[in-house]
Amino acid sequence: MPEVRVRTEDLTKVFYDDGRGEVRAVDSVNITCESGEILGLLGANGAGKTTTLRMLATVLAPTGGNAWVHGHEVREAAEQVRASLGFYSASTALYPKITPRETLRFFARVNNYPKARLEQRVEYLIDRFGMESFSDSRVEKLSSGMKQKVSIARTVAHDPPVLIFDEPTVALDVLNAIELRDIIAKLRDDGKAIIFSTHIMSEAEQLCDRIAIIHHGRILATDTLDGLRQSTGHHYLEDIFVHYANSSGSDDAIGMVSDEVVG
Amino acid sequence: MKITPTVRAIIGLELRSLIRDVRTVLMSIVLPVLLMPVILLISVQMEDRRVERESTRTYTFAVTGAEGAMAGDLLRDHLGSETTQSDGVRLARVEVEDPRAALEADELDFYLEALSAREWQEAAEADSTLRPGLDDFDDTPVFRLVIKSDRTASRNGADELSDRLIDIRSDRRDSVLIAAGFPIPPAEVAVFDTANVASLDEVQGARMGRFLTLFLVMLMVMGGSVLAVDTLAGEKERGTLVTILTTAASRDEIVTAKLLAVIAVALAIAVVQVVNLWVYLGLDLIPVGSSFAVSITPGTAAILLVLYLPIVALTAGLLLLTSAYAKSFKEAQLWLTPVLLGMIAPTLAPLLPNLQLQSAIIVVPIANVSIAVRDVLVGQPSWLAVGIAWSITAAVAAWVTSLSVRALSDEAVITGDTTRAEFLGGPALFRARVLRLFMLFWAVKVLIDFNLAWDDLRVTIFMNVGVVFLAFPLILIRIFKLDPVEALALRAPKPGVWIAVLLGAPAGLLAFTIVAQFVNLFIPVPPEMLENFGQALLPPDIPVWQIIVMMSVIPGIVEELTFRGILIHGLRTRWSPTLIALVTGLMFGFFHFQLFRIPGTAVLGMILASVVLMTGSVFPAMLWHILNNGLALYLATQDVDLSVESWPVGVAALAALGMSMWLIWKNRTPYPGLTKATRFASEPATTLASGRR
Amino acid sequence: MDLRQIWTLFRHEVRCALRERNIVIYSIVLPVVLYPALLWAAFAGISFVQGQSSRMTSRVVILDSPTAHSVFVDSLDANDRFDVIESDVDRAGLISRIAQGNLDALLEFTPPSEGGAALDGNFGLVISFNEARDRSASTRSRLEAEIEEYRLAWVDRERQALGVDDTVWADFLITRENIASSEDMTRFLLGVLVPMLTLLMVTIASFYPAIDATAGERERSTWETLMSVASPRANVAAAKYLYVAVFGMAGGLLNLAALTLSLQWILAPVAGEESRALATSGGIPPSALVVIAVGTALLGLFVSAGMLMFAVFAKTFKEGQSMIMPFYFLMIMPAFFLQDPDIEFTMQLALIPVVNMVMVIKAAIMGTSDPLLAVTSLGVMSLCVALAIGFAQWVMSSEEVMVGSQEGGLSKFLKTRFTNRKAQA
Repeated sequence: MPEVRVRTEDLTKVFYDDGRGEVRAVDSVNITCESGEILGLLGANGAGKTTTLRMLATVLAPTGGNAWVHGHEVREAAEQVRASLGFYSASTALYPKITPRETLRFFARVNNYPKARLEQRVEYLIDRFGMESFSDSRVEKLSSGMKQKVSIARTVAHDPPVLIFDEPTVALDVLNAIELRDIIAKLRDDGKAIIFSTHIMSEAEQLCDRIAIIHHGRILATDTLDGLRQSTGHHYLEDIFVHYANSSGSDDAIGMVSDEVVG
Repeated sequence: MKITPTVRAIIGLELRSLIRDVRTVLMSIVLPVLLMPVILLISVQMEDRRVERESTRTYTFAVTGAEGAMAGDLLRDHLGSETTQSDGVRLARVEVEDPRAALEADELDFYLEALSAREWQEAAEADSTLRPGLDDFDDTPVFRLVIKSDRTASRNGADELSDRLIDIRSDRRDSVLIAAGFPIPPAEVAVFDTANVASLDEVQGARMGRFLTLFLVMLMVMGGSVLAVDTLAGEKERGTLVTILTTAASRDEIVTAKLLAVIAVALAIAVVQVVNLWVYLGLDLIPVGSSFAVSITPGTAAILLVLYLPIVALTAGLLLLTSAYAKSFKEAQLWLTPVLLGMIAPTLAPLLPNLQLQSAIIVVPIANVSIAVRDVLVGQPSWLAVGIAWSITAAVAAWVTSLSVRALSDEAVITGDTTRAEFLGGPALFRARVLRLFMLFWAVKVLIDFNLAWDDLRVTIFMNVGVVFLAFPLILIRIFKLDPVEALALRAPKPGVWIAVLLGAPAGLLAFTIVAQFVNLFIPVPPEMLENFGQALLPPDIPVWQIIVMMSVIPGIVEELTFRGILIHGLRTRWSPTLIALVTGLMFGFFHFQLFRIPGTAVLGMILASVVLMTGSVFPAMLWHILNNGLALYLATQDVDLSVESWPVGVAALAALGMSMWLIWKNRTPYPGLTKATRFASEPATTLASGRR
Repeated sequence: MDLRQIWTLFRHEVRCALRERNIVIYSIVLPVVLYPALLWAAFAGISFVQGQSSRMTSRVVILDSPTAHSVFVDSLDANDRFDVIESDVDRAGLISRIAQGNLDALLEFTPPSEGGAALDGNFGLVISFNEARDRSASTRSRLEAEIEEYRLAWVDRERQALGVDDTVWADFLITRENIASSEDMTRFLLGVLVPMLTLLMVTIASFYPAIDATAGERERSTWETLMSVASPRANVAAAKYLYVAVFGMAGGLLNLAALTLSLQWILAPVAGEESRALATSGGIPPSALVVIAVGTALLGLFVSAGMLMFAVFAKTFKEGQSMIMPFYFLMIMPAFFLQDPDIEFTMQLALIPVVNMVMVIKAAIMGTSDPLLAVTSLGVMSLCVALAIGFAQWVMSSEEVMVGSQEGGLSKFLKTRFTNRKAQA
């Protein structure tokens, strides 16, 4: 029986800025994500994906609305929230001077993984992600593919029920991206609740159980791919996206280009 | 501050990462350890060589003048033609045609010009800088030692001969006196002896106490910075900061761990350096003149350890804070020099003679503990004062640490983005930069005041006050494309305000004097300085009315434009009006440089700032400022002492001031754009309040 | 070498540097703010202490004072700077109060010394004080001055009573005249400070640009972009070198100017008021200024070449910093050797690069230039600069460095270079 692991209620982020005044980067976002599900957050650069996910990870604080991760509210129980999620993005890097084994041990420990089972967990992860050959070399000496494996293992080091992947494939080559998607799919099969943001349509199409389309900080639609196809009458996700973006009123979908320049 | 397993894990990670960075360890730790004795050795040897050279060299001099023959005989009788002193200094008399030319040409070290009394009188009349006053001794010859003071040898040689001459004269006087029937050698009259009640340990403790804190802080900053600059700024750069911020570790735990790691490295390096130095000095590998070895009892050592705790924490906290606000390793590195100098400056306090802990210095963090340490080493300190000093520095250390925690909750600091203000420029950027610009301006003004002075006081005032304070706001208006009327608050106030100003300015002047009297209790002014200051203000060759006009009208207008005009305009969205008035006043005070003038002018600045904030106009403040300065100067020329002796006068002055402020409040026109309220509404957007619990 | 191309590349480097806030802040804003702030802090501290000392009274207890000399005790009592305390405490108690710092000195009248007993009313004195406490130590010197004054007046009275003639008594007076002008003095002080500071400042100012032009470029990943432009690598290297040298010299000189302007104010009381005008009126002769400029330029060129040579192997800013460090210390070391103002400029010193430039600048400021030494020094230094540039050019233009495939620093590079050569031969 799947349970709701992530829920937001009118989650809003307003930046105040001397120059522009109020900027509503995220505007009344309502999403949910259940165990064993991958929720795709699909939007252009600057649409508010990263801000939303960073609020869930308690790096940024919401200015309005609420969000719960594994039953903990992000403002009231920030540490429990962080203990129950793994956050992975292109901007989360690894410590260069320590080895993969030390990395896993460190992150399991700071995320309060039970001490008694810690070594066992580290061994399991090394085995599962195929890191035996390089588990004791320093991270700075590893290739980017190896680093990526360490990074994902680091994300799940404390076996969190919720995983957040913020544009994980953005800097990867095709083969590494495919491998990463496979790993994410397997994690879903382990029963994790996974939120996955991307601006690549094909990726969302292949991987996500449900897709939330976000544009200018607002969620325009949330449904399965089939559901979206039915409600818009388009087959390809790209067309579906453009359909919603155009009907959102404010700008045309090409607006994302200018957003990219500024944001 | 709780040492949780998470804290231990992070400390382990930090230290492990540092130790594995071989090149950094080599260059930042090993190299200095090796270099320190080398530098010390060189300095000691250079000094030894210099002393030896000076003590063995022969100083050449000539004797000239009308009484030259007498002086020559005197020297020959008492010193011989060329004399070797007991300590090896030789004075060699040579014959030259023109001693002055020879001295100029470096062929002589100095010469003795023996003048008759008449010659001396004539010379003294011709040159007023010569010391006259030989009226009582009509026929006394004068031995003038002519030197060229840009040469060390010239000064030292003349000192040597001068000492010899004084001895000769003393001997001769003694024999004259004894010949006349004086019963004892004059040197035996009222002989005094000194007895030092301090033990050798105490004296050496006092000597060491002057340098100990300076030495330790220097080592700690250098050592701690190795880790500190890399830990937060470096993590931002490498992208590991977001990684660690999304773990279950709380901000408190992260800062605690990093602080402890910095402290550990700083202490370790300081200890290594001290031991290093101790080995070289203790084993006499490097000879130094006086022994610095002080027998410190375990008790004293424990007290010192406790005393140094807040300094250690503050050093580490400041380093961490620097790192937290820097966007990259590089930037953190750049700010290290100012942090180092800023930390070292207060540790120099115990080097100043006669500085007591029971004085205003007790509120200056670091400086107060440095003096407390000296007092403890001397023995029998005032424990109350030591305790207060310790608490103040500890409180500042705690505050700095909490700032680091806050920095990790500040979204702009974490993401390191360029703010929109920087992107847009113009008025928005001006508001973000106004305080920094004023600090820069302050420094430039110091340079201007210290280096530019014209012969005519009027020109100096016109340039250093009039032009400078007018140019600064105008430049800012131009660069940031501000609206001049808005920026300088050039609006008309309600008429009632003017009456209030006429009442307030004289009352304010009295209030100002009360503040000055009060402050003088804590920051005593050297009387000579006050006198010089007064004389510099009122030179005798310029008509008084001109000075009054120059020194009241010009500053009254341009200083108001700068401080109550553009500064308040820049701060108006930042803080509450009260805080704006306080900061504006303080800034105004610091622009008056001399320590004793700062508190009084700061109070005046606060009053003027409140007037502007209440009237929305800079003009009443200008009138107030002009009246204040004019009145003060006029009363000074009339030798009226403003110090308030009786309390009723003081109370009356304060009441009048209060009434004037009340009148202004009744006729108020609020300063436009005090938008702190709206800014506050969205404040949570920029700080993460929740990160901690 | 295409000069125009180098010029274009150089302008590009300079423009990027000027737009980077860090460089501007560190090399321009910081010196302008830092030195005045430190100067002000020193000034404030000193005036605070002056105020404190002027108000400080010396607490003294006088024991066994003879009635014949009550004038002396009364004069101390009347003096604002002394607080003569009546006390019932016994001697030991008083001494312990001095030890605690509650009393500054104890003045005890004793019988005169053996040799002085023959004089009627003569006495001896013992000042007990605490050397570890500032207040007590200054009380001691204040008391000594008072006693000496009283003693002299007494002897003088006795002399007059015995009828010793004024002129005979006075014998001769000693006075002193300094024929060095205030310009001479300022020149002396600047001569001690400026040459060392020039070396320090040029070294410090080149440090950052050298890393920025190499490791910084790699960090920003613009290195490869630059390597792929249609310009010989030697030109790229030359432009980078020029940039570091120009920034090092300009930054160094700016620092020097800010520091000298701040210091002048401290020097003023020593050197006389005129020294203030020195900076503007040019008390240093123009010919010396030329020598100083050439000396600074050669120092800048040498230091930049050295720094680039080390920094070019770095991949990150941090690494670059570590790599330069030894060279940096090496450059700063002469400052410790040359701190003695009287050190003589000999032919041996003229043959040591860097050190000789410091000495040439010093001699030029002090007005003691020796043409032979100056020419020799400039020649030696120019040769070293040429060698350094040539070597740096060779290192920087090598394939590994340009592509960035080199592991390790300069020493490793040289090792592989020469062992490879040998292997091939």
